[in-house]
Amino acid sequence: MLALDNVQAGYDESMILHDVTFRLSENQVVCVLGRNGVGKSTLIKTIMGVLQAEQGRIDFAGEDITKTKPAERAHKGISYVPQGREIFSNLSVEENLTLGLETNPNPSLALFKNIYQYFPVLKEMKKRNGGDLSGGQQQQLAIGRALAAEPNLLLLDEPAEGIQPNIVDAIQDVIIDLKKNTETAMVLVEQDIPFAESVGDYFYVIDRGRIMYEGEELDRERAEAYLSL
Amino acid sequence: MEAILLQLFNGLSLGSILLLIALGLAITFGLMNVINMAHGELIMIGAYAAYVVQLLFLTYLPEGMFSWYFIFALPASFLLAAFFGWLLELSVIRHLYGRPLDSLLATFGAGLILQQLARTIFGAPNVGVQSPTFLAGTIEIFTLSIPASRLFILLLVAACVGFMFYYFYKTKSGMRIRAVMQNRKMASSLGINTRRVDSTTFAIGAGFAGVAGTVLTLIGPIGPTLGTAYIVDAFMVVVVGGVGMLIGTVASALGIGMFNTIFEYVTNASMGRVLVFILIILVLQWRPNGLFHLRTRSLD
Repeated sequence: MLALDNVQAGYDESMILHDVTFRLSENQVVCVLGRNGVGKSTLIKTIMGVLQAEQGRIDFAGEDITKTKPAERAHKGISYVPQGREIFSNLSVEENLTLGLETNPNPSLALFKNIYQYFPVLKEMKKRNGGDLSGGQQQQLAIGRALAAEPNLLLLDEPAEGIQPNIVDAIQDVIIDLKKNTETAMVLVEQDIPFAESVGDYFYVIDRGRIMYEGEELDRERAEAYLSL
Repeated sequence: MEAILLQLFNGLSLGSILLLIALGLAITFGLMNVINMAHGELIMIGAYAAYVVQLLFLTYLPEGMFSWYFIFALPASFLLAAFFGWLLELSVIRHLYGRPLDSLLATFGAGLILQQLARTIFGAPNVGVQSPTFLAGTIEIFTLSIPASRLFILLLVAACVGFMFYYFYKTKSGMRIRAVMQNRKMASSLGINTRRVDSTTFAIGAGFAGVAGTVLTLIGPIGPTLGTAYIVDAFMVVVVGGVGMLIGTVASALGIGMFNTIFEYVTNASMGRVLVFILIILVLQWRPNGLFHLRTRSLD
């Protein structure tokens, strides 16, 4: 479904990702692990198109999307929960969710019911500005917004980072539910290794912009060398 | 008592004119952060659009229909200025987003080109546009006699502001615009065509400048340099109100109009102006980001 071949990407002159080859099939949950600053977010951004690959090739659903803009990729069914949430703080919670419908081929407000079921706090706050929400609530909003698009591929960049434990639980429950009950494929960047192991079908471990390990099982001993500080 | 009421109305009237001049800039500068020095020339284009519509009516339609020209001039000026704005965005500004100094210079140059264009087509001297008959004369409200044109401007500005609030806060395309202006990358990641949003937004801002131009034909003669007289006021209103805040632009235009009139009443015309500028400097000392300012909680 998604294939990156020998992708190189980064900011201006400094390349972060080197020669990354990455595969994801339908319905699969792929976890990306690695320490801070090794290129996990860069990988996600390159898949979304927020960063353009300098070299290599990206295919999605059988089409070459290497040169396309994020908006086109979004219309092809990729949805993105960025690190740092990036919700629209001057727009209401409801408007943020409505923007998620932008790429949904069958937009319907009924979808919000599911999202509010996942994250009841969003319903309570729906008239408030996104910027009034706490960090954890903003993260829930960012995930809700991505789900409103009913994507084929959901990119989650450290959804549990810097968030209080009960909200982390709520988010993890949603990811588990999506895996069980929908056909959404996911790329999940995660620091919580036990959680990653519980939902992941396939694992990549990145270090210094290169893929150092991949496999269907997270081989703790080999992986840990790249994950421990 | 009557004198005070009349001054209050004059203040409101001046405020409404300032607001109309600044409304387009509140979009192109306030929302899009383009230091658009050609804003004045977009106003000038709107004024000449009214002039041309008036000429067409004089030439081709019976005299009885003449006053109706103004009703056609308003949308015509909006569309013509919006078209020029669209062209300006497409040819120049598109390449200069996020480069305020460059866009300042480039739009200043574009403004000069537009001025020369007007001079070439219409000649350097000012031309007069005859007010429609229904806007001549005065209207009696209680004991006050108010010029009909001033009252009309007030109502028109209210309608424009109402339309803008409706468009930006209640419609889907308004929502897209706000999303793109806040976080371009994320908006694009959600599937919004940011190029199209940029060019429509700029065109709408330019269109409102055009409407302001038509209204200025009610106040005095128009010429190729009409815009330069208003550009400072327009920026002043937007900056004092708070960049990016429509409501701030409204408050600041009415405030500046009011204080200007009061100061002029108490002192004289030039002293009043000085006092207004002093007041503005004080306000900006107290609130460097303008009267209204967005406070948000991001990543805490």
